[in-house]
Amino acid sequence: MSGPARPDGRPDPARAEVAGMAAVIERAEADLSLVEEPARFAAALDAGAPDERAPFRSSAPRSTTR
Amino acid sequence: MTDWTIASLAAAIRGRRISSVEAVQECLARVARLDGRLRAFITVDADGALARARALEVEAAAGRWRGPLHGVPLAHKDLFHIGGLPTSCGTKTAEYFFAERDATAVSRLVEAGANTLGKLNMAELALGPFGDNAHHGDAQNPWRAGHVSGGSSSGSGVAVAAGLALGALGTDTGGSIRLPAACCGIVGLKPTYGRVSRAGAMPLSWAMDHIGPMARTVADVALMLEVIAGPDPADTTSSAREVPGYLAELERPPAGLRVALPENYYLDGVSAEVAAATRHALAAFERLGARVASIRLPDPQVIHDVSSIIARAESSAVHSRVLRERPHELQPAVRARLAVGTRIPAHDYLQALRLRARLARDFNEEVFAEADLLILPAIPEPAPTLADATAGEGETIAARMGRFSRLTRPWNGLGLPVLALPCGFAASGLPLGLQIVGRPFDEATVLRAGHAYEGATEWHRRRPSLD
Repeated sequence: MSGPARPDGRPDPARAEVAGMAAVIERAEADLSLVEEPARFAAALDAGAPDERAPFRSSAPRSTTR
Repeated sequence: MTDWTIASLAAAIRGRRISSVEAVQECLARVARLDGRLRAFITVDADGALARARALEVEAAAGRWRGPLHGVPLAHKDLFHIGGLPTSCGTKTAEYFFAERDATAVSRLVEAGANTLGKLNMAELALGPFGDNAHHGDAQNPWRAGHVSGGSSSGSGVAVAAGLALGALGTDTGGSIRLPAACCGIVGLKPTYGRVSRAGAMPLSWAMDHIGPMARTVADVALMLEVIAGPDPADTTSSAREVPGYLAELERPPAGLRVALPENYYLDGVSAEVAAATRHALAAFERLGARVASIRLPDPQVIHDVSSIIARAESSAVHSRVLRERPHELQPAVRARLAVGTRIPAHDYLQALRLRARLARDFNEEVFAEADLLILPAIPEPAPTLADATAGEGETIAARMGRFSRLTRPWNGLGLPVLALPCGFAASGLPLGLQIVGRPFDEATVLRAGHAYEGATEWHRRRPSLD
């Protein structure tokens, strides 16, 4: 991802920033198996959540009349 | 108005100690008196708010109460679609964003009785952590003029801290709720990814965007979350998980909770005042009966960079038209940030999404086996001056933006619930902010820990001197 310099010879900061961020991808991708699909992010959140049988339900009424 | 909270005002309205009309009039008077210099609002809907307040009064007189927010004046970041009002998204274009229906989160607050005062200032296209805005004026830190308010939900932070509104909605793609909360000395919550519907709000990065409440106390934030959370057919990414009773959980003491302070990354390079305030917060949790410890986290720089790749690529896609056709209308730093996204190869974007899933799973399994909550600073230093934050070329400012949000951005990638709340004040008089991080969908534990910490300290009682 090391891109060309600007016409004025200065390094292109946008390309340098992208290259810096992409380094983590390059280090990890050799080890990314086919099971690592993006949708597994939502599964990871659900797997990490506490038991859904929470002891409390919402106490804030959506609408009340008195 | 500076002494009320959402909870106390709602109770006073129900107890007929103050009317919905009086509450709105007091807020509007403060807006008229102070917002010329604070720049919290983009649109003030004074006539609409007064008309709604009168209608709410009539309903109250007839014994009809809409819900727990009946008559409470709120205001929201100017990227939520609200029928009849323009949505600039902080750009030069008054009606930059339009949706078929009102934002679900706003609608739920209104159904619960809230009265919307207007639309709040923000960083242009929600791209920026400082709250500067060349089109609508720089949102000013209410604690010290000339200092940044935090962004991108800058007006939300300022309006709540200054008592112009009792609470506000913000959005958070890399810290945009938590940074203004920390800079302005208020409470803000980035819920779990999927906990709150994003329908009707301008997207910046659909994989990283979160909507959340901002208010003066943890209890107020819990109340707002309880109203806005839950599944929404209009947002297929909203979670079907049941919404627990956050308020009912608040008073449960935090004794026995395992609270850990990361020993890597989050204290690197932060100011001495920020580090000291964070360590004092850990000590406060120990006095509250929590089991405190230090913990070494999986390298946060990795998820930070993965989050940046995804957010930059998606934001460039969302705003490609304005970048292509009207780039001269954008502030230089905003243009520079969007330009970075156009240089990200599809390969890196796709791999970043895959890597994110693994990082989230590994983090949850490893870290929450050892701790129930993490605490860490929200901002690396007290709010800098607007002049210092915005000096230099667009790319220089964009790099500075990245450094200021480096403590908040990793949590967007991981999708975890994070509460930001005051944890002290710098010698300069500017607030310092703490983050409390919990398990996915465990906002209840995050909020009750924050509520206990708040009750053990007095930071939330301080008010900026504006009058």
